[in-house]
Amino acid sequence: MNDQILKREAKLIVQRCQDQFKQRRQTRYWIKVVNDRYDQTYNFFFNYQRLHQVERSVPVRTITEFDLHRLELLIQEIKRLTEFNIEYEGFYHFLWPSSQRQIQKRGNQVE
Amino acid sequence: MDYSHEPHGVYFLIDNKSFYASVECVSRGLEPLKTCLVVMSEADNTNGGLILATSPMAKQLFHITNVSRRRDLPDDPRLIIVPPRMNLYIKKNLQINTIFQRFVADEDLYPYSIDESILDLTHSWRLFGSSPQQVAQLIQDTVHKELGLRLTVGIGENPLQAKIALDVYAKHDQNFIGQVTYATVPTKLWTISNLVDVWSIGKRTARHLTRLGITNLFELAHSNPYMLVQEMGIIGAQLFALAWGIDRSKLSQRIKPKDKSLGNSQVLPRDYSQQTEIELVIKEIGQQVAARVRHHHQLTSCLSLSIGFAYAADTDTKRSGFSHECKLEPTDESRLITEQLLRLFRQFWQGEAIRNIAVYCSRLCANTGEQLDLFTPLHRQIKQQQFDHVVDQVRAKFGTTSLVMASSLLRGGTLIRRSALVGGHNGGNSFE
Repeated sequence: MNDQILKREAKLIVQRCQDQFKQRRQTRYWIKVVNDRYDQTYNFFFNYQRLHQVERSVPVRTITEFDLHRLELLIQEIKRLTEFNIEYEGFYHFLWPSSQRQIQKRGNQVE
Repeated sequence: MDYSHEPHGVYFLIDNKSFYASVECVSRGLEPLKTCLVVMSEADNTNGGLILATSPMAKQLFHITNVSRRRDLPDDPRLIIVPPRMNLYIKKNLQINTIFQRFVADEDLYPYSIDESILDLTHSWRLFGSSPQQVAQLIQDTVHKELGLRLTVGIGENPLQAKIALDVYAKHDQNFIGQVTYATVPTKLWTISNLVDVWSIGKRTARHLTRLGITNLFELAHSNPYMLVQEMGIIGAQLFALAWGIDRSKLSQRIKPKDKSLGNSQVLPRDYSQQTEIELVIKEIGQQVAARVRHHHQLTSCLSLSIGFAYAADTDTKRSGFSHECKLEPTDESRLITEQLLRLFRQFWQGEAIRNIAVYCSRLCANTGEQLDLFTPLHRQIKQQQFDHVVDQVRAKFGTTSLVMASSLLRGGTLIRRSALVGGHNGGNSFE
């Protein structure tokens, strides 16, 4: 993924999230990034949940380039474009290559 | 009962536990058995939302069943609702079947549905373990390790036993494995008290059997087979064999259908009562089916149009719909096919509101040449045929919606919105 493609990917992901973003009251919106070790992909979802109601999760993009360096750049670009919180799944014990900071703080039910 | 002359093999019927829901859980990094997730289609014609799959935990906690509606779902924060991605499920099904091919030869693997496959392990199970159960567990572990999905396995000496083992026993077993053999027919088959739990017995057949005084499989097995045949025809004999766990079908012998047909049907997003709107959808479906006939290099000489009425019209007229056929000269031309469909519709429709439309082309024959018509100028016939083929080529290259009739943009047209669907639900292409 060169820089141009990376920017395009980030823009596409943010655009698809914006399409789903309805600015409803008492509603939490966030982006979920999943490390899919079975398919060797990074899956992006846009999730939202109104207080005390069901959670909705809409798939927005699957990144097939399974490289943490590129993912880090992609996430940086997404963070530049949007304020949505990003939640990580399947990254427990993984560190961001440049900052060496932990990606996911808590393990989930699978790990 | 002497089973010595019956076929004795080792058959596995393997099913994915809540397939669509499990695939969605895995792609979100969630454990399929511990997450409350439902896959809900919100296509136009689902009346607010139709539940396609429910994870085991959601079934257990909220008693949600498949084909429930959005209104039946509780507003519980533990529940996750996701849209379907049919193309992803097809891809996963292919991956699973590729894993199965490691355990059986290609000719011994029979995909049965999007989440079920029949494996004939008669000749190969000894290569992988000391008992069929051990092999079943190995297959389960392999799929779980490589794809994260859980399988349920029914084991039997014939496909029927495997299917019943799967439906009745494996789903409730701790290891998700069930087994039925000739020796266990009395303990495992005859003890099934509810007839509709058994594969191939639906509500109507069960009612028919109840009228004959048969309410469970034990009674079916001990009824008079001649009486069953007299009452139900060949199905009676099949049911009697089923009750004794007998299935003589040879899966390797592929059944050749007598007459293949091609068709499409759809449930409309609302009740249609205006003639122009209904005719527009009939035209769209007619063109879609004609394109499929051309794609298969076939010509059709019999058309069938089925119309299902809306519930309201249903109660007014006591008719639930109509279905009629007409013969025509072998053709694959969209124009001729839609003309005939509209003629059929105008002939039999009496102004009812409708909800379902189905179009089928049968009596297909290979398209080996064009039969010219003496009464139409030659260049017009050739031009018409070329027109359809050019449209097909453009659509094949640039997508179905690259070229649509302007009328599809009118109120009531469904073609454009349905073009992204797979099996009537969101295909998910745009997310890749």
